[in-house]
Amino acid sequence: MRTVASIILCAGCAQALHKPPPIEAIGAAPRGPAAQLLADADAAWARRVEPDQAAAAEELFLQAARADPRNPESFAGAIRAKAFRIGREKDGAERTRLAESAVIAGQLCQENAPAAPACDYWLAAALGLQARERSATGHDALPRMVDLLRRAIRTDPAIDQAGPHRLLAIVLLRAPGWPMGPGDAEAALPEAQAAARAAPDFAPNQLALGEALKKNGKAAEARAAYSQALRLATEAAARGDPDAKGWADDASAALR
Amino acid sequence: MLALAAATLVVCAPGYPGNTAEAQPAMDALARSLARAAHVPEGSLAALYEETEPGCMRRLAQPESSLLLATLPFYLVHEQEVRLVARLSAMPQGSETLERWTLVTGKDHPPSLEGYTVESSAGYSKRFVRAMAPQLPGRAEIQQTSAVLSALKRAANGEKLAVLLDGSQAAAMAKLPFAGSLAVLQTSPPMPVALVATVRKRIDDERWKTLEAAFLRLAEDRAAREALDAVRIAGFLPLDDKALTTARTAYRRAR
Repeated sequence: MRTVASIILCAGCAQALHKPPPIEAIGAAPRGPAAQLLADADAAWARRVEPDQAAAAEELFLQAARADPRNPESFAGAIRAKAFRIGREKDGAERTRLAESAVIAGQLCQENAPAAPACDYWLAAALGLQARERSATGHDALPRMVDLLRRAIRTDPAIDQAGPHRLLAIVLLRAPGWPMGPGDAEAALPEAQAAARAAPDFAPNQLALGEALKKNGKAAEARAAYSQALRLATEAAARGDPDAKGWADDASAALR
Repeated sequence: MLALAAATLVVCAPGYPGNTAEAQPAMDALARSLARAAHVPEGSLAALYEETEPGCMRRLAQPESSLLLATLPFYLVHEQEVRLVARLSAMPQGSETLERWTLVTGKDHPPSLEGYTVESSAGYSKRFVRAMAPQLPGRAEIQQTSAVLSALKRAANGEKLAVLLDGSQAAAMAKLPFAGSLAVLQTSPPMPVALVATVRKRIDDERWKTLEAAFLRLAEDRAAREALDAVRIAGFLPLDDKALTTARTAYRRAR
């Protein structure tokens, strides 16, 4: 019954978006020019596995956003850093705070750089993070995510290694189906294929493709995609990519 | 206060999304509310959700699984095997306790559906699909799908495909932009949407009476209301025996 099946969506359904606070509220006043802050943020992000570096990167990206709000890269960096921190945070309340603040960063990105596809993509990603932490927002968030991602696909599908195609595939694979939600495994497959075609060497694209193939009854092809994901993740780990272990774990679990 | 051994309500909805882990907080809230309404200690009732048929069957094999909340297809398929006794109807939010299943296909379909495939979220039970759409040709291939909207699009585009819709899907069909390219072939009589059943007499009549009263008054309790909202159930009502008999008869006649 879709009632029970929609648990992930609706626990007293809440709005996914609220009026965001002014940009001054999201981070400290800039302590330098935007370009320098962005460079420092990128340097901290490169060291994100070291203690406090992900938080430092987030803070520097937010300062850069305040210094030059028209540059979507600063907001995107802040949301990416918050997502990284959420993945490692044990305190549920803190994870929720980070997810909600990611949505605010995405909204401010849209306000200040309205035509930027990166703002659409990263707001969609932030809404997904928030829905994971506060399932009550999912019902409102999912159709918004689909709209934002389709718009990003029309304008710049290459963001974040074909992220708009990849994330749309994941939403369509995991959301409740019509008429309750946008979930549709069949519609997810071409999105996952587009992501894997555009950036075949990015392990998450092969993971999304594996999931889409599996849910469309193509077990052998799914295994091939998961094997490819595992190979790519192993190579990424050898290069020191801090996200690689998670990708490898997901691929190994899918291959078991 | 009635002392109950820990009893588990197993919630089964094969063909629909969500999984056990995601659902557990809402299941815990539902079990707590039910325990309060039944005036039994918290912890004497548990609830869990299973999204696959094999997962449900594994749970139901465990001795503490004494109650089932399931969709009609799952109930009919396993009624005899698990010795289920239907007790109550579950009413989804924004819906009724009964629904009609509707078979649709592309507008330009031939008089016979010979050579067609039928897709449905209830397709895991071919017999149930045939029971809801008895005019289907005997050789029609039946498949389960969770991508009902894509299936409808393909049917509307002329693919040799029919789709069996549940009540909420059928109600939403008219709003689709391509609804004009679809045709309704057959509509079932009203059938229960979801049922609460007891499992293998693991709960005796006296215990069931206590729990039945608790289920029936659950929606009146403000705190329980929140737990019901989380699983999008408006409440539980006495069973519509006539509708269940209709469903059972159709299922038994189908092959």
